[in-house]
Amino acid sequence: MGDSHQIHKSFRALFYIFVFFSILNKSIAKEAIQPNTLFFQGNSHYKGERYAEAIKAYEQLVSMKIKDGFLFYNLANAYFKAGNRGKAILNYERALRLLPRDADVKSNLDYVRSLVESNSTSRLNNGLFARVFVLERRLNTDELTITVFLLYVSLMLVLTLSIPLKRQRKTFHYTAAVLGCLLFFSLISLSLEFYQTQWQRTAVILTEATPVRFEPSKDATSHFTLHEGAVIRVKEQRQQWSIVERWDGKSGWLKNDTFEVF
Amino acid sequence: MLRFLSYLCMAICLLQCTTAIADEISVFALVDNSVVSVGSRIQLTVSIKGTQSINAPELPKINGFQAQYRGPSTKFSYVNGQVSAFIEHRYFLVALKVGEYNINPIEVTYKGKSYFTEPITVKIIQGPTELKEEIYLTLTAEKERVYLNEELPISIKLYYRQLSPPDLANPTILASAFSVRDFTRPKLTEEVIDGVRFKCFNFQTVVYPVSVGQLTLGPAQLKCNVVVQTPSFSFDSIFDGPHFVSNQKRPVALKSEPLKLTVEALPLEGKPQDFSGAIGKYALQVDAKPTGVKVGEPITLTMRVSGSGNIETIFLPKIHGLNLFKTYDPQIKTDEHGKSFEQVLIPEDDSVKAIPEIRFSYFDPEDEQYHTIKKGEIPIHVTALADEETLRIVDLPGVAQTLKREKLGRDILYIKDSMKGVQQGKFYLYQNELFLFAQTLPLLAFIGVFIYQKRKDRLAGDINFARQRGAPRKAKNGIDAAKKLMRAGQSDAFCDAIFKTMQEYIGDQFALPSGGITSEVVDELRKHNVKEETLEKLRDFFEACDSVRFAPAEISQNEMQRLLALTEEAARLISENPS
Repeated sequence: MGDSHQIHKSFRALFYIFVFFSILNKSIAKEAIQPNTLFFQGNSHYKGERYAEAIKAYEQLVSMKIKDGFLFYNLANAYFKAGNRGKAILNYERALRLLPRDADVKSNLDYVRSLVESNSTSRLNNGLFARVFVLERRLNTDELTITVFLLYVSLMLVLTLSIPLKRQRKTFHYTAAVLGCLLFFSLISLSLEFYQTQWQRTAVILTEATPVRFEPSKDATSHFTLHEGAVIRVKEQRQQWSIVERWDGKSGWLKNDTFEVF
Repeated sequence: MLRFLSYLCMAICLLQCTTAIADEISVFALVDNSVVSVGSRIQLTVSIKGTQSINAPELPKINGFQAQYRGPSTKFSYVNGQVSAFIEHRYFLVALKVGEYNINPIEVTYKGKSYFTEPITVKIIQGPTELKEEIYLTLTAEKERVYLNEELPISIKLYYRQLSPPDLANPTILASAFSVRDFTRPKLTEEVIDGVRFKCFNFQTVVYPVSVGQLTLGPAQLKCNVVVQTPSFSFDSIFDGPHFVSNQKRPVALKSEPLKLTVEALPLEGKPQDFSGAIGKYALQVDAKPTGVKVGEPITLTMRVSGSGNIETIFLPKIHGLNLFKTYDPQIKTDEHGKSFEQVLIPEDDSVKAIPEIRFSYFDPEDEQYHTIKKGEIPIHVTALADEETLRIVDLPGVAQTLKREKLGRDILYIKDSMKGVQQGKFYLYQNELFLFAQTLPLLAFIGVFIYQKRKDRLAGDINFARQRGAPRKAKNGIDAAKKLMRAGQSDAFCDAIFKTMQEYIGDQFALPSGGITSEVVDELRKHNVKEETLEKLRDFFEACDSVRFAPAEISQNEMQRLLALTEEAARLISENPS
């Protein structure tokens, strides 16, 4: 009698464990499926020319902190079709950061830029570093990280092998010097990329023509006008106004609701 | 001969002038100081223009002063071909009593006609005159009501008299709500204010109000050094003789009164859609070169906006309908009078017949109206490329794009069907802890190999070190072999094995030749700082060994075990106390 009761208790415990893991598994599966489902829903709305719904679905994914180049690309397409060129350029720029060599993203971005005012086509000038360390514009952050890692591993491998293999030590040292230079070059490129993505706040103008003023007031004198899609650097952000700088170094005050950082 | 002719000309001029002066004269009076201390004097000058033949006029009674005639002074002036004759009658007025007095109009009679000077007010004070009466600063603007960003000329004037010219720097102006241009070089002029002659440095510039409302401009400030002449001794009280004066350099900080200005925002009514903020009065000149090009060749469109106004507010004139052109950002040149924009336009199609209309809008604050200048279409002739040619559009220096002649439609490319890979939250690789940990592995491997190689190299190069490192293992093997012999009951072989093991162990540990190690080694080891307890144990070991090795009969198991234990103990003590 006592044994059967013990067995019954064991079965009941096993049943509860099974149910717990089933629920846990389901919830995990649900989390994993949801982004793709939303993405397909967005695509389906886009194909049905319901661009507002498509934007809603894609934006929901963005709010879930999903960062995928194609997601931003599709979102930009939807904004463009909905007539919002500023947001379209913003999301193409975001996509380009993740997919810097993607021809489709570049093509669409160039096309949308060609439709807006001329001064928005100018990109920010990141100085001599950006021109010398070209890897930053060819690879995204993860690709640059992997490049740096592989070069670092190769350098350490060569240096490690040069210890026991004394006869080939000279060859190993030459190889290490070359790898060291490449590693330095990649590291600077990665630092530049890191600086631009994490430290420097780059933004896109979302409204058609926005005056940049000398003071943070709507009555202040306009210094120059920025057009929809123009890329700017946010130097200092305050509650309602920010100090921004455009490609030629001119800066002024801009209302926060006229641009979005990417 | 030439000299004679010049004298003749002068004589003719003077003759003409004496004829001319007979018709009309003008008179005016001025004093050299409007504030004077009791006992001091000022000079009153009655100036008559138009004749030189007129006697000193009789002064009216001037309260508070005693007048004394100093004499006449004559001169000619020749301005723009007109010769004028002057005579000045000068008087000294000695101040007698504190107060404010009027010098009433002075009557000058000429050819039966009376002329009168303007009245002058002079103040007599008790003490010496203050410096602020001698030098002061004013700030004036052309108007008091302006539009936001409108160009407003202002003038800062430094008035001084009876002082040596001050050492000047440019004035400063408090203008937080204005953008201020640099000052021009000051001009030195003379001005008569309330009958007093002043020298005046005039600093001119323009300001642009940058916010609307009731704004305050100024005060203007100027710091300079003035040389003040102070009389050290005067003979005035005795007779009108020379003055003895000393020069004193004195720094002064001058401040003008501020100006109140009303700044208004630009009117919304009538504002053109393409108005970009230009304020002033402008003209637009447009030129395009060349006007005959092939498809893909550049045309330089030069647009110059010039005129008076705030040049900073001039932006690129608007051109609508450039969709058949490839355009580049214009090159902008700014000068004193305007801005020039050089825009490169590249026709992409041979159907282009003209550069579209160019418009520039500005607000004219004078008539308070918006104006739009339109420059009509500029006809151009664009020829198609020959069949074998391809369209080349210069993009950047050294880079060219080659396009097919075929006209292609353009639109955005279609959406992607699936995401590349769903990544949520921390999505950069460098944020992954495992990846960061992996960075340490190559470094650890390098350090490990380095240490191993160093040890290996030492073992190969240092025999004593190699012997010492290998000694415990060899000793263990020897003791194991001795144990086997003990179990087999081979006491002689056991003793030899034990002795030999200990010999080698001591030799390896202390870098001594193993073959020669006997009980006498104990004294040798003392030099290696081996502890006395260890030496004692070794001594016991060698004595025990000698006693059993040279014993006539075989030794028992117990003896062998004792010897083995002694060996292990001695080896342990040596390993714990190496040299």
